[in-house]
Amino acid sequence: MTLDIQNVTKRFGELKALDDVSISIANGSLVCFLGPSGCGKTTLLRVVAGLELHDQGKLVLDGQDLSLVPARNRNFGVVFQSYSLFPNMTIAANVAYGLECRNWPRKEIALRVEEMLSLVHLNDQARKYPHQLSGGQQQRIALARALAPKPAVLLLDEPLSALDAKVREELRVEIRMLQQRLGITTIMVTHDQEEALTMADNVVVMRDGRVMQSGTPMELYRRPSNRFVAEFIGWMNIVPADMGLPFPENGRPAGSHPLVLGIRPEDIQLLAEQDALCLLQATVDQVTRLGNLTRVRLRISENGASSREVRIMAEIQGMGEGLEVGMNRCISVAGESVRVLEWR
Amino acid sequence: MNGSAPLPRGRRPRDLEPLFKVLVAAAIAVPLLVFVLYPLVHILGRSFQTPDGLGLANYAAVMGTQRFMRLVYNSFEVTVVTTVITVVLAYGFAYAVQRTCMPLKNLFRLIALIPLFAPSLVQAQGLVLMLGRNGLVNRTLGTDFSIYGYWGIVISSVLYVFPYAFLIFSASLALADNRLYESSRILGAGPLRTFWTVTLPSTRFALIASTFVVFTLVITDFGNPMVVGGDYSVLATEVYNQVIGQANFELGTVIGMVLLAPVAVAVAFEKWINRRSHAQISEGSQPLSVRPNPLRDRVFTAYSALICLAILSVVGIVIFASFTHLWPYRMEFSLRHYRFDVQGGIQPLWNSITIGLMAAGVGVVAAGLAAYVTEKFRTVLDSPLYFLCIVPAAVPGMVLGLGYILAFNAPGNPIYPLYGTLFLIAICNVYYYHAQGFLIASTSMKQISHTFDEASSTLGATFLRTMRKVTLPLMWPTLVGVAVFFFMRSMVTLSAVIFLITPSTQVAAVSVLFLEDRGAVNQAAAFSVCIMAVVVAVLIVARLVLNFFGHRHISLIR
Repeated sequence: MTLDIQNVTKRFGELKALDDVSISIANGSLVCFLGPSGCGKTTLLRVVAGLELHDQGKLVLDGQDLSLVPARNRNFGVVFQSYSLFPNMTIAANVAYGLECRNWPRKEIALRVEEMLSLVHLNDQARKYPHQLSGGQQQRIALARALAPKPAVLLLDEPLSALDAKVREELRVEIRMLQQRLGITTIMVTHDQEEALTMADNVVVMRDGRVMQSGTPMELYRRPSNRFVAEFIGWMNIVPADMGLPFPENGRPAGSHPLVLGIRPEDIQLLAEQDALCLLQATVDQVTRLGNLTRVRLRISENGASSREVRIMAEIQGMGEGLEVGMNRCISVAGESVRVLEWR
Repeated sequence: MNGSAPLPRGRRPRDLEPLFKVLVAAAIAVPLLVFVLYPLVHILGRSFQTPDGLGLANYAAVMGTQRFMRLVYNSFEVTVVTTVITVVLAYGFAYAVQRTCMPLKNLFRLIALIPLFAPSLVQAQGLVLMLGRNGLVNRTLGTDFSIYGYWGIVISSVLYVFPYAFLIFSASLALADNRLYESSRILGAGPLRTFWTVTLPSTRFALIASTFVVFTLVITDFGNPMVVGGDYSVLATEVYNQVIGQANFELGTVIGMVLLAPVAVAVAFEKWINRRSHAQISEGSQPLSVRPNPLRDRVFTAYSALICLAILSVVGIVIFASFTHLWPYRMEFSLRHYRFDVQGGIQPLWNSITIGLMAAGVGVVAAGLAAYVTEKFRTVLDSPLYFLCIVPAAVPGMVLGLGYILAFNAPGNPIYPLYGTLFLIAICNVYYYHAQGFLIASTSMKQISHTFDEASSTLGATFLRTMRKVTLPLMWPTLVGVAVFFFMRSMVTLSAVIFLITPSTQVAAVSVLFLEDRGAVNQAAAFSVCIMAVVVAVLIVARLVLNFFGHRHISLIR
């Protein structure tokens, strides 16, 4: 199932929660909507689910416009952050609920419930009630319930946020494996960039109701197209372009100059003061040793034309022997690993 | 084609559910319009009706008189004094229950709630038996002391409204953030200072709410002033005297409208304040741990015991009197008053029970559906419907009852066939208490997460299935509570039904009033005891049923 979100806009009174959003989701892929709270990612998911009605635009599933189809007829499976298992029903009854709504024969329902529960390894819990299960188990049941009616698309609304770290890690892997095994087109909303980067085929970074950038996790990491994405995904040094650092020329709009550059900490090399490759002189401000790598905070003492003080974070492999606060070091960086985040 | 074209408006309702929802919401509003707004409009119209057409003559005739000014003054005097006394006493009592290590808390709490199970004039009844001219005190001490009048009304009213104020304070004082109290102690504040700077401010909304609730109850109450008021007349008794005594409906309606005004203001203000009050308990809050303090605990135990003694003695003396041969002359034990050899016999009690059951049934459906629709449907009718649902809170029972006579006792009216039936009395009770029943149901509905509905509809359920499979099963304990509430109030209420009863639809609470009025205090007491017994029995059964299904937290007493 291919899902196309075309120019969707949604207003809540004055507020534009979604502003002309277009996203294409390939069959069988897992797409993450990623962004800070209030960026519109959950609203977008709710629009897709049919729980909110958008003001403008289209939702097209395999060529069919879904805009006017109510939630209950969309055949999308939804998993909520708060699990939302019906507390008055047993686990088995929860999983069977969507099948009963579709008037499946009793026998097939029983078989399907069995199948879904074994898919999430919780067969033995069928007769229990939701409150008797742990949070992680409840969320797996919610997943089984959403998948039972063979939905066209699976929608996950921050499914792991309410869980503690260890369970979250486990479920991350489990959801991803399940999704790939079933080959079901999936959208997941999250504010956790690590979750997005480890699980998704594609990540859509959102802010203020707009799509900032979308692409594979590594594309977003290596080639952020703006400052927001650069800072939201991983850590990136943001520096003025006039300090004398090299930058790649490709994608340069005609007649413009670079304004802001972004450099990942691991791309920065620290050299001895008199090294021939030296680009900028810097003073070590702080050294944080994490064992396998070392974070070094530096203050650039000589920054070309401008007199602003610029700080830079570098990450070097190993223990960083010999590095001490107050030392002078030389910074070097390869031109192709620098991103121009703003042109003028 | 440009995809950002607006959705065509006309094509949206391909799904018929939204249309259906609006229709249901409208259908829910109809009985509210018929049984609340229509009688009110009618009574308002009637108050302007004079022999020479529409005009203010009725108002002029009433308001110009010395007597009217006296009535207004009396009503406010009694109400304000009662309110102040009740709020102070009930706050102290609730504080004792929630914030001290007093022993037997549950017993004290239960005793404080007893007046809720009794007909609303039982306090006056007990007071007369104890302190009246032929009361226990005068008989035993040989004094000639009379409780009738101002102080009689104030004392009986305080006892009558005490549990309402106590419930509000108790709920408010039960919530506290221990961190605030710890900070206060660490900063060196003594208990008194902590009370003024932490406790009192955190209960300010409860203070305001209970003040207005008590004010409304007292100014509209007429059972107690009728019995123990003597020559001291108030607005509520005057409405009764004008309508029943002198068949002067116009003057009755005018005074009714005068009564409506302060009540409407009080209720509107209370709702407004309520909306501004926000949750004081955040996620990080820690429950209050009360530490023993021998002096404080002893003082509050003594105080609570005194209050309970007052409540118990007034109710106890009624129970006692019902079992004596002839109070206060022949005090030997007798069951003869339970033969009910008065006019109508025991029938009024059966009528009351029938009405109570009907009101419980109708009330659960009306209040439950209204709550469901306003909470879950999200139609354009939400706020007008909500408003209609809580309007009855601002209408004195007597005014609503009077409106029913004026509106429905007309052969051409479609409701006329119901007139003079127990069913119409039940309906009157349902809509008189509609606001509270509705609020109980909708508060509990709010606590049922919206995501259940969303989960259900994304799984393919229509809202009817969601209601049947999810909402109702989660709601039923609360609905039992709502039914019990309507039953209980129907059994004990006087004001709404007083104008609607006929000899064949007499109810027990009104019997108490009439018998008391005739001086048949023993039979009146026996009726009161029967009412209390029925209410308590129903409460016990409902409690056992709920506990059996594991719903101990649902409170039945409101």
